[in-house]
Amino acid sequence: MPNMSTPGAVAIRPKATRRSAPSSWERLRHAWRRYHTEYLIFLALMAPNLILIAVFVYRPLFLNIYYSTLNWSLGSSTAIRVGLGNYIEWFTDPQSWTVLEVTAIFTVVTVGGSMVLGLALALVLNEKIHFAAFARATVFAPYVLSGVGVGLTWLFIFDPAYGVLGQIIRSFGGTSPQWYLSSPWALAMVMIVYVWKNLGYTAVIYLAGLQAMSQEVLEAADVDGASSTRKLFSVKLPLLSPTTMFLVVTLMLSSLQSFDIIQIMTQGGPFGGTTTLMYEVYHDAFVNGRVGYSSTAAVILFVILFVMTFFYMRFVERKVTYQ
Amino acid sequence: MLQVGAAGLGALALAACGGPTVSSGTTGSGSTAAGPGPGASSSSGGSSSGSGASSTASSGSNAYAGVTPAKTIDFWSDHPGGSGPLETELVAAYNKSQSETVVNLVTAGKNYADIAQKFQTALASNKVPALVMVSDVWWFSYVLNNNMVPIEPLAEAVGLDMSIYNKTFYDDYLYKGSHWAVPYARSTPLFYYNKAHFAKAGLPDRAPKTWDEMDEFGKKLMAANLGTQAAYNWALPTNYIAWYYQNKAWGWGGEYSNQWDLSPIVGQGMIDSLTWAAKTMKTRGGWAGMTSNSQSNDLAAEVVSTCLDSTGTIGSIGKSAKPGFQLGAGPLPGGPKATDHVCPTGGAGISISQKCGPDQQLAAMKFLAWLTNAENSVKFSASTGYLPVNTKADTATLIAKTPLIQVAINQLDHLRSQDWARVFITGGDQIIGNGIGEVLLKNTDPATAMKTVQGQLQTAYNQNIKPHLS
Repeated sequence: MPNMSTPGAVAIRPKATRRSAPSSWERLRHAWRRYHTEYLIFLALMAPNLILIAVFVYRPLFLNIYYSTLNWSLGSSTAIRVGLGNYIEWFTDPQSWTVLEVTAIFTVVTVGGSMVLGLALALVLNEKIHFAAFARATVFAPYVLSGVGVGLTWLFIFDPAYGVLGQIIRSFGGTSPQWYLSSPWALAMVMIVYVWKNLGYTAVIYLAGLQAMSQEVLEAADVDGASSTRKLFSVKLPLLSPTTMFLVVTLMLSSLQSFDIIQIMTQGGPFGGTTTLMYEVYHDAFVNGRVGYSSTAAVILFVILFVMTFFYMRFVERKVTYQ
Repeated sequence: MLQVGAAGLGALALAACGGPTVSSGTTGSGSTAAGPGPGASSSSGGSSSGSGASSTASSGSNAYAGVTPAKTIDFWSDHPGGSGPLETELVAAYNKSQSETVVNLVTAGKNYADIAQKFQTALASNKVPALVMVSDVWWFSYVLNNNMVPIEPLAEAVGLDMSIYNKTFYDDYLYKGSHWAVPYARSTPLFYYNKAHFAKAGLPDRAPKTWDEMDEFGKKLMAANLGTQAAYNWALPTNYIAWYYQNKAWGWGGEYSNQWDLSPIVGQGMIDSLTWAAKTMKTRGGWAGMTSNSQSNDLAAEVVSTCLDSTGTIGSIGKSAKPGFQLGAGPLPGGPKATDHVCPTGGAGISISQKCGPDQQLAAMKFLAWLTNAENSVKFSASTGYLPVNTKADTATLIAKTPLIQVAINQLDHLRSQDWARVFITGGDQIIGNGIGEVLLKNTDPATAMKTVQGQLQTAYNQNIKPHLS
């Protein structure tokens, strides 16, 4: 026990009293100073990122919205303000609805196709097979190839006159579809190529999901006598729902923005049969030279992407089962 | 906070944005009327359009008198007709021949559309090449937007007599009394055929003189069982079918447009030609198909016996065909209403950028004069099949090297400049091409298809051309 009568003890006690009971104002001032310092550090660390995001994300976004209100020819230094004129033209042009239809079919088929086939591949690759690492690398390879290279290769494969596919079909006595001259066949062609290119990506992501799956749950299903089909639909797929959720969002965004394969293989044709909204943005700007109208299509694409992503995150994510 | 910060910075960035100079007003609507346009007035020599040429020395005879040529200039090319190695060689030879200016040859795309996109993107950044390849469907758009300088003052500054160039090709670039490009890789379509197939089908070794005669040729070629898919392949709607189709339109007395008047595209000549064209399709018992890629590749692969393609493919057909393949070529057939002057001009010229500054413009013109001199014109034509643009070119040497080019040279006096709707309305080529494709592939009634085309052309004209015409 300290000697309370010593001078030192007397000197310490009042200080201790002041520290333990600061006034409300001092507390507030201290908290503000601390917050202020932390905030400045936060700003110093975040400012470069914020500036980059502002310059490279928000600036183009706002500029694009602004340009969508102009009649501006590519390469021209002057433009005419048309307000919502471009939007009215876009929504009243029957071709716009064809573009939306093509975009919807393309997105649904490529996202759905990539996921179903990717899951099937992942289920196969998840089994104990010979040369598993090689098989996985082979499946994933198309995803890392350039879209231009993929498009050029498939361009020749699909050519009805001297493509490999046409020769195979002819060897069975059939006739090659006119992939490049018929809108439905052309759309089918680019969707096949797009699914092929993305198959590796979905397969690898699903494979990671399958391998991270709790073995105990699967063993419990085995003990309960569940068949393979029952296990797939009642155990594996629900447990893969976070993976599915991730893939749906990323593939949907990717499909809606696909361009390279379409540009190389069909240039949006024939007769707009493969013109997606993204391709229309390019075509209006660089072929038709209508930058303002192209910006309008870009804004509409942005709104669609935003609404779809928001809807999915807000409502569909609730259905996801996390382990 | 983040959102507020980003939004605030975005607003600042927006406020700081350059972009176009904006004026209020309507985009224009209604029907067009003939007004100012390319070739509307004769050359007065040395006078520029005078519109916004801030980087041009000035118009007038001594405009570049005190200007020193730049030490370095860029030349953007897509190397038409596989001319990459030759262009590299020519540029190297020029750089070696003088010490004033170094020319950098830049591969700016694989075709005219690529180079046009890159150039227009470059315009937005103000970092443009001094020299850029301009195709027949793009140069007018650049001129309309004040992106190019007139050739005459520069030609005068370097002492180049422009009468050395083929007048038809040179005058293709005439607008408001000035020329805006120098002809370079200029071409026309030719009628190509497989000589062996013609012999087997009992046909004469020549192109048909008229499309009526081609009807007979086509039937005989199909009956000869040559293992082909069709006697003739049309080009793809997205691949210049509207250029080749000019020949049929004129042959049947039609037009895509009469200057800015778009009514001829729904005229009887166009409808008659399209009615005939639709009947040629194999799907309707005819003798023609449509290529999936390139009609000249189909000819080289013996998938078809005949096609129309550019003179620039003379070399490439021979290179890609099997050994022993005998290529024949002839002038374009005529139609029931016209048999002469039914062959359109085409290909590309070289323009000089307005934004690059007078020193680069002068250096560019000096190089251009050298690149298109008689000797180099022959070299380029012999290597690619494009027509010699310089009238002083030794065509005897050229014909000795590439005999088939004789056909194209003979056709030079029978050329006709293309209708404005295709070459001067931005996107016009694709709009018309799609309309023709609708008739050939989808069995659409020609009058209905052309009515749609007319509406689309009118919109494109109202949006991109009309606001810039004065």
